[in-house]
Amino acid sequence: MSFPFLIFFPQQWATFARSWFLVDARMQPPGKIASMCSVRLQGKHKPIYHALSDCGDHVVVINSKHIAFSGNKWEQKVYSSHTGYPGSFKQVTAAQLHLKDPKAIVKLSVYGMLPRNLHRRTMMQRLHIFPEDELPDDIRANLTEELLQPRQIPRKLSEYTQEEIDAFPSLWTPYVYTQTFFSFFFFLVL
Amino acid sequence: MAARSMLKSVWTSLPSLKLSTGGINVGLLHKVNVPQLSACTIQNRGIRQVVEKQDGKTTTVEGKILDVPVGPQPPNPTAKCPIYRWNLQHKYNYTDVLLLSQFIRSDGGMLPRRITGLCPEEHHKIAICVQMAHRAGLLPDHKPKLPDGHVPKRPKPKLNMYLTRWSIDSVQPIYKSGLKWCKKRMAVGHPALKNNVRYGVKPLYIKH
Amino acid sequence: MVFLTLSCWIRSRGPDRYWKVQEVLKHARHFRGRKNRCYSLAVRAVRRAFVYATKARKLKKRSMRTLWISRIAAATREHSMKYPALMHNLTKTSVQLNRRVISDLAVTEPQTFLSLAKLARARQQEGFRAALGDGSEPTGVLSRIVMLQ
Repeated sequence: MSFPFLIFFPQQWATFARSWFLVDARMQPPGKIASMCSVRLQGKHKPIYHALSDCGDHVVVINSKHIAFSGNKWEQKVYSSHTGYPGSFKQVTAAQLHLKDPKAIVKLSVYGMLPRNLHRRTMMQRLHIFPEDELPDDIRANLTEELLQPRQIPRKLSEYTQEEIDAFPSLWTPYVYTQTFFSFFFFLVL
Repeated sequence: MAARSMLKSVWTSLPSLKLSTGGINVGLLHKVNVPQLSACTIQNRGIRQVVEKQDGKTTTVEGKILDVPVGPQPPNPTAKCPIYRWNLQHKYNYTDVLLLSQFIRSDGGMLPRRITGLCPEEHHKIAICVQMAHRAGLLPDHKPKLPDGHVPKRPKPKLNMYLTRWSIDSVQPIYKSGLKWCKKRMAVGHPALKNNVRYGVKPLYIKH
Repeated sequence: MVFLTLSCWIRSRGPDRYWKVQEVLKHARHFRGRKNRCYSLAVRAVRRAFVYATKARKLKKRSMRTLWISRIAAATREHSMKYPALMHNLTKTSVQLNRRVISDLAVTEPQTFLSLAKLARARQQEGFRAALGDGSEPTGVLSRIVMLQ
């Protein structure tokens, strides 16, 4: 049955196939990671996009433990939750939440960027987050494309080679107090 | 005794004779000769190396002027401040560690302004950038080492951050961010760096 | 009611109210709950539905346009351009395709869309060179003569 379809509609199959994207979240702000992910999960990167056609792809986020927040958001940003029962209003800072679950911040930010409809949970099921860069073999076998990191990671001083440090011009040299005119002064005093 | 100390102060006021007075004070076991600065000295720029020479009971500390090979010359050599001399105003940020590392001591603090010759505004901005670079972990770690075998009870989590304006653990969480039109925002970056050159059309948001 | 003959039976087809109710219920048969069989509930729901349908005839034009735009944007990103740059440079080169046609091209004829994207990219580079001042504009470009704006 599927043999003639394979011959006549390979392009059709390839168009609607789900691809798997890999995102490295090391030193990246979670909001930028989430906006990349939500586009891929909804399928908005395909010309055949329609909200009802369920054409989203899978996204694998690795190194979610090593995300970076700008500013003082680790202490200032607060995640709130309420289960509906009385007294269950919880507020934790981003640092506390991250220590408890290194996947949670990326997951919540992606969940907030998806459209609020019945497809939201389905799309979240296609998001796979891993705190470190180790992947299970079945997921690693599926991966098709790696996405560029949205933030360029600045180099540390220790990562520069000695040649680069030497090639940078020295902007200033300290004042040196020389005493060449001193003998003249000495005679004046006498 | 008073006359003696008076005499000594007269002698020490003439630094060129200071070296010859080394033998007078025999009461001290260990004497350090430091060449002093007099009122009539000439300022020019150079790097000195501290050389300690021990000769019997006398230690001589001397600053030898090093010959530094001439590097590239600044485009605007008449300006006072090194940043203006190289036309770098509004062009550096916390990521330019090669620039920032020239203005800090070996323990990570800022060098004083009378030595670097920076103007007050640029000194302030470089201090801000150095702080942000330290918090982003771009500069080497200058924290004192823990004694051997000491294990901290609650090890501090290593959290990556950048453009951090306030020092870590000095801010309170914003539990009530307020109404939609007057929200309490989180500061990112520093307003002193607001006028930095940006290549692109995106406006700069320092309140997230 | 007595039906003496077949023709009489066909001529009298029951009360008018029955047919009036059926006219309304016909539009409510696919509704959920009692609305699809109880007239007093159905009549309200049908009226509401017709109001929605009237409004949606205008909204459809808007939502279709957003759909075309998001499709064109997706296809443009594949060729490492952005949607505003593409559309702006296509109007500059006097390409009078509307968004519906371009999105159809992006879906069904990717090669045609690629050539459109290349055209817009070339126009963009020309604009950049002209803005920088050093690049002399190429002569004999037909699209430059027919300027719409």
